[in-house]
Amino acid sequence: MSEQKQWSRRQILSLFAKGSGILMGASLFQIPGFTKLFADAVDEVPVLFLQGGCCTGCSVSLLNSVSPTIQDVLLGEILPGVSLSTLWHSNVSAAQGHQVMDILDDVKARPKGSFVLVMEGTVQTKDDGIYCGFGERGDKHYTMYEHILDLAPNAMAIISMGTCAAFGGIPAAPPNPTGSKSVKAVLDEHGIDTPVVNVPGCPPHPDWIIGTIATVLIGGLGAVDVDQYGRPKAFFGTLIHDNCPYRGHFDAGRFARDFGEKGCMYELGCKGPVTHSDCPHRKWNGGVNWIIGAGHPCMGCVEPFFPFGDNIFERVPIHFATAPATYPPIVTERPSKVSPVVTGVLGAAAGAAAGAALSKKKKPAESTVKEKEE
Amino acid sequence: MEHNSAPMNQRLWTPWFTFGVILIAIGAVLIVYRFIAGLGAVTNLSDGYPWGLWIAFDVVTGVALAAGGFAMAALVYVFNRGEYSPLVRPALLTALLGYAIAATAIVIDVGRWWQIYNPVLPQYWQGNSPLFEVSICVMIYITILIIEFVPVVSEKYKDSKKPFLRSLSNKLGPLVNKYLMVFIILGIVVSTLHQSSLGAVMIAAVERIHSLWWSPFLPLMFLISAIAVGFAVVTVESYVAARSFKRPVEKDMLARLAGIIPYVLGIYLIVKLFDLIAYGKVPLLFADWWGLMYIIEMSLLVFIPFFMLLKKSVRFDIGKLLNVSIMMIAGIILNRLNTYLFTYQPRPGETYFPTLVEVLVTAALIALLFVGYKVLASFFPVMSVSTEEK
Amino acid sequence: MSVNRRTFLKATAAGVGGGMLATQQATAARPRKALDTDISMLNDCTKCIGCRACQSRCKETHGLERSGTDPRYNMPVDLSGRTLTLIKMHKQDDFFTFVKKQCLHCGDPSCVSVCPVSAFEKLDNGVVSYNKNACIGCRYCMIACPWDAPTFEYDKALPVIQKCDFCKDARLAHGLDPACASACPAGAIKYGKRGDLIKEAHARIRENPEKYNDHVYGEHELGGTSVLVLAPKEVRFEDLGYKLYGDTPPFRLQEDIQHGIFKYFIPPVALYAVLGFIAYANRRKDNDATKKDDKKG
Repeated sequence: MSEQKQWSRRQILSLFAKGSGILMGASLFQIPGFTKLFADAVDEVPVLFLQGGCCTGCSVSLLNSVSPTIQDVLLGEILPGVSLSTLWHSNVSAAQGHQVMDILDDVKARPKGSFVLVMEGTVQTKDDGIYCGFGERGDKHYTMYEHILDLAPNAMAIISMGTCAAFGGIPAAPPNPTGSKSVKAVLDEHGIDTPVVNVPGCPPHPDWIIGTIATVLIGGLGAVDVDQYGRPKAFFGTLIHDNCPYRGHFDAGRFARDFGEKGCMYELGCKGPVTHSDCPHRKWNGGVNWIIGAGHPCMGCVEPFFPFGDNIFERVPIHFATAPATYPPIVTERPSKVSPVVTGVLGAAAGAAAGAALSKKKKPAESTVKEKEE
Repeated sequence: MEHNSAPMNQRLWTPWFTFGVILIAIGAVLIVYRFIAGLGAVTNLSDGYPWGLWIAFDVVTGVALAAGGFAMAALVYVFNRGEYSPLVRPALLTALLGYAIAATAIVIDVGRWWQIYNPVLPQYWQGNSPLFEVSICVMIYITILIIEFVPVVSEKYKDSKKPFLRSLSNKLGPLVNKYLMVFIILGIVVSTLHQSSLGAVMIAAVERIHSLWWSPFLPLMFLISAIAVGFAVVTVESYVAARSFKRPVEKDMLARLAGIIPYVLGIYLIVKLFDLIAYGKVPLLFADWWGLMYIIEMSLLVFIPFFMLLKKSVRFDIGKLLNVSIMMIAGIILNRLNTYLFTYQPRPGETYFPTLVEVLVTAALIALLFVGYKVLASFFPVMSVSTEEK
Repeated sequence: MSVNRRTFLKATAAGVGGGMLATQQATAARPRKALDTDISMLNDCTKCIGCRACQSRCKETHGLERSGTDPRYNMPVDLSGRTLTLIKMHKQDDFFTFVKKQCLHCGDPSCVSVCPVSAFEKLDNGVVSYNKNACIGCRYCMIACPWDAPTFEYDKALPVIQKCDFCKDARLAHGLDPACASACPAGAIKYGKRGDLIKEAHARIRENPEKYNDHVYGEHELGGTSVLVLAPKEVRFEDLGYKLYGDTPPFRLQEDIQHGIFKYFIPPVALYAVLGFIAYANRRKDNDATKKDDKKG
């Protein structure tokens, strides 16, 4: 049992508030009276971040969060009045080794619905999950598979962060030697009905992750409106294709045939027409740019087929009609189809026929005579 | 009435014949491709121009030109002008081949050709449609033409060494001959119906073809012009066949046949004039190029032949007679094409021009007519011969 | 050969019998005009914003993907095998009008009249439906339709004729509005019974005389159509591709001629009889002449 106590947000605040608040004449929150008032009003939900078969990319992306900053997210408030208490995150927490095992045991002992589990990466299930070991006690080795099965039933909700956790992603691509599965698939297999919200992406945009967590914290699970793949519609409700700045090129039939060429990248394999996300609006790295803006076709990283279900550079079939950008006129102009070759052939034929007709005049008298001679 | 006919034995593989066979072979390949790839791949047909060269020329003009068969049959069997009987079988063969080719063109052109027999099924009958009438009548008429050809075939095989053929010929030949009148008259009635219905088809396109060619009298006009040209076609066909088989040309007979044409043209002219005057179309004749086209067409088909064929000197000069006949044929081709294709303008912006494939398939079908005629006339007793020769 | 009177009469009788049977088929069950109870659609061009939701939803409902050989991916310029309705734009000075092009489901349809195999049928509820099992692909309907509604799948080896079917199987059968009507966000497409919609159309014109062209297109044109169109005041219907036709469909004339020719099949049979008589008479004359010659000789 560890003696190290987690500093809760409340404690940190009261520490500062006592000392510096009045002196600095800073924000409302730092006035002791208000602070206490707010401290009681603020909900604090413990969040545990675990990683399975993953590359940590999702967490790295999360670290890029600009507004709110990652410091606010992990230590302060995501939004005014809303904060999460990070129980543990492999990349940012100090605890390691048996301290982590203790934290896990703590969490497993918590009452039902009292924490949120954020899972990054797949759950590797083959050979009893041995391909993703996580911790030991004495001689007993634990696997992430076991941890998930222990933790999932009691969690308030599970947020599958990244396409790997949401749909299987890269580790689950054939031949899938580790038996990687999405979190939802594992839960369904074992009949665990804890709600799972998928926040896919490779990696997901930090706003998507934080936005989803914040929505869950503020409004509860019911506040998250999800689509048929369990993705929040707020971020994954519109097609990239419908908001793409190159849509005009698509509608007008101007397609880039090679990288670097001007035009829509549909022929280069852009999955924009079948990918649901708000990348065109939100952009990445603090709104600097996004994949299509950088000249590369969208890979559809938020969709279940990613990464290799549809070849990245192969044209994706579009199954539903979307209205084009320009209008046909009332009178449709058609190109003239007069072909010089056919005109020539017809002319020659007509000429030959006329010639044959005119030449008949000379022959008739001979035939009877010839015939008699025969 | 007796006529003597015998198979011809001229060398089949003349240069023209070979050229014809080559055209047919090319056409056959293209037709197969059309069925595999669809109409759009081989034609320039479009939603604006659903009917193009194949319908307007191969089918409609083809049927008009094959009218010689029923015109001659009427003349010889109903009006009992037996002196023209040597011309009957050749006209019959021309008609048979002509209609067979027109029917082939229909099968090639329609989109759902595997259901082409649907007009025969009672649940699909639609009596309001002139095209329904055309399809039924053409089917009946081709059957009749085949039946009328049975005596020709049986005449060949009645002395055959093969007993089956011999007995079949000796049974069928006389049987058909016994009821021949029934079929011939039925053929005339059916021909009248479908020749006029081909005119009726375009009545529905009232807004889309030029007023000079659209008329409520289209059925009557098509019928009469078909009869007139029927005799012209018989004249040309008789001449070409005679030359091809090195036979004497039936100059006198053709001259007298030509004497009938002005009467038919006269009736046609009256109908046309009535149409122009009663519907106030005369100013259109001088309004634009279409007016000129109409005048040219009428000149080729009516004016020049009418006045020329009234003269005995023209009728009895085979060269001049041929020229006039060819002029009439050109006139009727122009008339059918004008009605069905050239003046058809469904909406602005639409154009049509045949593709090379369309032209080649048409050429192949025309070649099939000539080649088929030569082969069948060489094999069967179609061409008329004098009793001594027989 | 001799004319056997008996066989001749037999053939004539057969002809009459067959003909009467044939003409039975041509009689129609419902009156040849647009009825107030027909399903109907009111397309109001003054309300259309050109969003093309109707066009897209129609394609979605019928499973029609991109427009054929047009290199612009999903951009139909006209009706086709894959586009059963589309929005076209008319520009007049700076004024834009959007108009919906589709089959108007005529009360007395040209396609029904000219199709040789009854592939088109005017159903009792007013929908003009197409039966591909009957169709031979002759394309006469395309010649006859004044509004160029039927289109042919030239690019297919096994083609059909395509035109708006009023969503009769996909939606009407399930009690739903047609796809385009339900998709329209601007209320430009209204679905209902023809009688009601005509009243509504006139009401709209009456209440906003400065907004509407004072004519309900389709009310009387060529016998009336199920799809009615309203246009803005400044715009003529012809400019929108909707020519102002008279009340009688063009094929009526041809039908009248056809019916005249085939009235109980009498004229053809009469012709047959006349020809037969002439032939018989001529033959008789011939025989008499031969007999006379024989007697002489």
